[in-house]
Amino acid sequence: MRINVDVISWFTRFTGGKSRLELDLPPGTNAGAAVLVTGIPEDEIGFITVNGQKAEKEQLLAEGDSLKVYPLIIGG
Amino acid sequence: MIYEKYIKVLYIDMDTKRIRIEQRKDLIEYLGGVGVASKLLEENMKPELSPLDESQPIVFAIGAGSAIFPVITKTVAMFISPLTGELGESYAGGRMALTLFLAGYDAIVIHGKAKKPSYITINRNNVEIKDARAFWGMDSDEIGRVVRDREPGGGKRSIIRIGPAGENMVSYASVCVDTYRHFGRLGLGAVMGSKNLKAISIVGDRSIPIKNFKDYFKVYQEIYNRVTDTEIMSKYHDAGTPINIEPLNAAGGLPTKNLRQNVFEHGDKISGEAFAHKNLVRKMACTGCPVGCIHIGQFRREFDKGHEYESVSVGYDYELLFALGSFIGIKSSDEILQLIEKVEHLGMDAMSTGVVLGWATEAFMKKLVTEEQTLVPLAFGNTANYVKAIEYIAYKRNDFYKALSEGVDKASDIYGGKEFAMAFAKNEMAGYHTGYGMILGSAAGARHSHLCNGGYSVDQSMKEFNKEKLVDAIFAEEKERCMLNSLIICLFARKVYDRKTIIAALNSIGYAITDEELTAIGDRIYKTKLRIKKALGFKLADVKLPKRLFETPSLSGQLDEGISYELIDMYNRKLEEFTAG
Repeated sequence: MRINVDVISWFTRFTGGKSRLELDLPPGTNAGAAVLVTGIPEDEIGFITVNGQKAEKEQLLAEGDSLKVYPLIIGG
Repeated sequence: MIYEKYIKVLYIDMDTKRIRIEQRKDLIEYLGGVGVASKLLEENMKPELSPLDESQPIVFAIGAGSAIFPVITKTVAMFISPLTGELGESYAGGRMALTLFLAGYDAIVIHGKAKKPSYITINRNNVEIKDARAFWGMDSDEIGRVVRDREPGGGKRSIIRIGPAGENMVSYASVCVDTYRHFGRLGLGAVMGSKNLKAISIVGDRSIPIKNFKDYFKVYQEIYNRVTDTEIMSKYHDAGTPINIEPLNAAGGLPTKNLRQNVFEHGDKISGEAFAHKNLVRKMACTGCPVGCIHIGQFRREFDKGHEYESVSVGYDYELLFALGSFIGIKSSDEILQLIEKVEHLGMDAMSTGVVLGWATEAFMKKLVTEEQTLVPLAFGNTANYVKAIEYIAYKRNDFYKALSEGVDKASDIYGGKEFAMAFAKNEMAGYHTGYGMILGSAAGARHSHLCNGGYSVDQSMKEFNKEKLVDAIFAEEKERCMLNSLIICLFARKVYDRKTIIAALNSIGYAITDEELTAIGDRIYKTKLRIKKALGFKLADVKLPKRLFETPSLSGQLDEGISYELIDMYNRKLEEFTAG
């Protein structure tokens, strides 16, 4: 199944400079696993949205889903 | 003081101009920083008097590691807060810690009120109180320029100063440190104003040889390499904390329009990315920090007819973008920078100012106040009128703006709208509507700031909501930060400075300290702060939370009022056991 992943510019350091990736993944792949395919380290991931809705990493994906990956909130 | 068994305290009486220095061996058990400052505040405060009474103290202190290791850059200020009436604690970077260290002082206690506007100059041989009558009324920028011109020591000097808001004793007036850093929160600027103290210039020009250079340099290099060669801190340099706008907005945790919303429809226009593309011109660092997290943005302003423009540079970070951006509905980076410049020059805490304006706007919308009182029609997104309103607050233009100058809690006491007055124990909220961790952390934190215990961070890291684990995590973090702030480490570097690193660092400069002793120091400091709060009449059980927190969903979903109070009660019982032990 084809999945689109958008990342904010901070993450492009892990994705070879790409801010949008198109992945071809086996059916049954969840959101967390899909994001790891992009090369973003797990401990850098704050949360993920699937089709604009905040999603758990365990959420199963469907053909054509759009993911966006966000970093952890930082500060003092 | 490094290699000494005492803390060197400089006492300045603004009234009598008497200066004295004490070498306090008894303060060593507090290590430095917030530990020493808490103890000095406890000794010198007058709980029965107003926070702005001239006999109340201002305490500044540097930490046991200040200026000696990378990213240990902060100075702490402690005072009684005119905003909350209780513990005032604020931190600033810049050059101040280095200059105090090289001038030879661990702490300063300032008492009394000068008979006329004054400024203080401090160096290793001399302390003077000088006439500042001609400077009274100047904004934070102007007074910095004037003191720089008049006083020697450029390059080894720090200048801290207040603007008109401090002079007029706005309860959340800030203190500007070396132009781009601040003692922002809780109103230190008003306390300086109450003492007729416009500025302090500190020159540090000693040289301090390191005794065991080999050990010291090894530890220094290890820390430096972790700071510069790993990913731990690079985010702070790259986009900086404004990177938070995007994730908080996408996840529904960005306080927007007085928290009527948790998502800002124009979030993309005020994100870290937007600022980086449109406004970012420079990055700077506090002295002794290799990171460079201070982001300077520029906007263009027409200062006269005929296409006469100037470019204006101001510092920005996440909290400012939230408070003077999403919280009041400002939808462009240029307009936010314009508002930041205004609060900078007048010398006000940006976070409190934004939250106060958010409340005032909603109070006006709901007709709790009229345009006769607000003087301009306040509306979310109306930058021009907010610029005017900020000035009205700084100068307490009428009764309404005088009330606003005392914070949202006071204003809502007078005009109503308590349910949407977004403060925790009288301190205006920070920019994280993330969940129960943020609510408990802000309510129970010693100074009611997100920085007391990082409640927002606990919300983010907790895999599953568990009341006991949440209370334990906030309590443990509060104590740990007491210890970290005795050194005083910039909290951005808290993952670099784990216990092992702290012990190695202190050992290399002659402090024989153990893990257990660091824990004991954290406990001792927290207990001191709790004693101060108690003496000033604070009771955690009396804290009331604004209903709005439970009306607008958070990053963790809809929050329950009952659970929030239950968590506060659990924390309170934990504190009772802690202080009894």
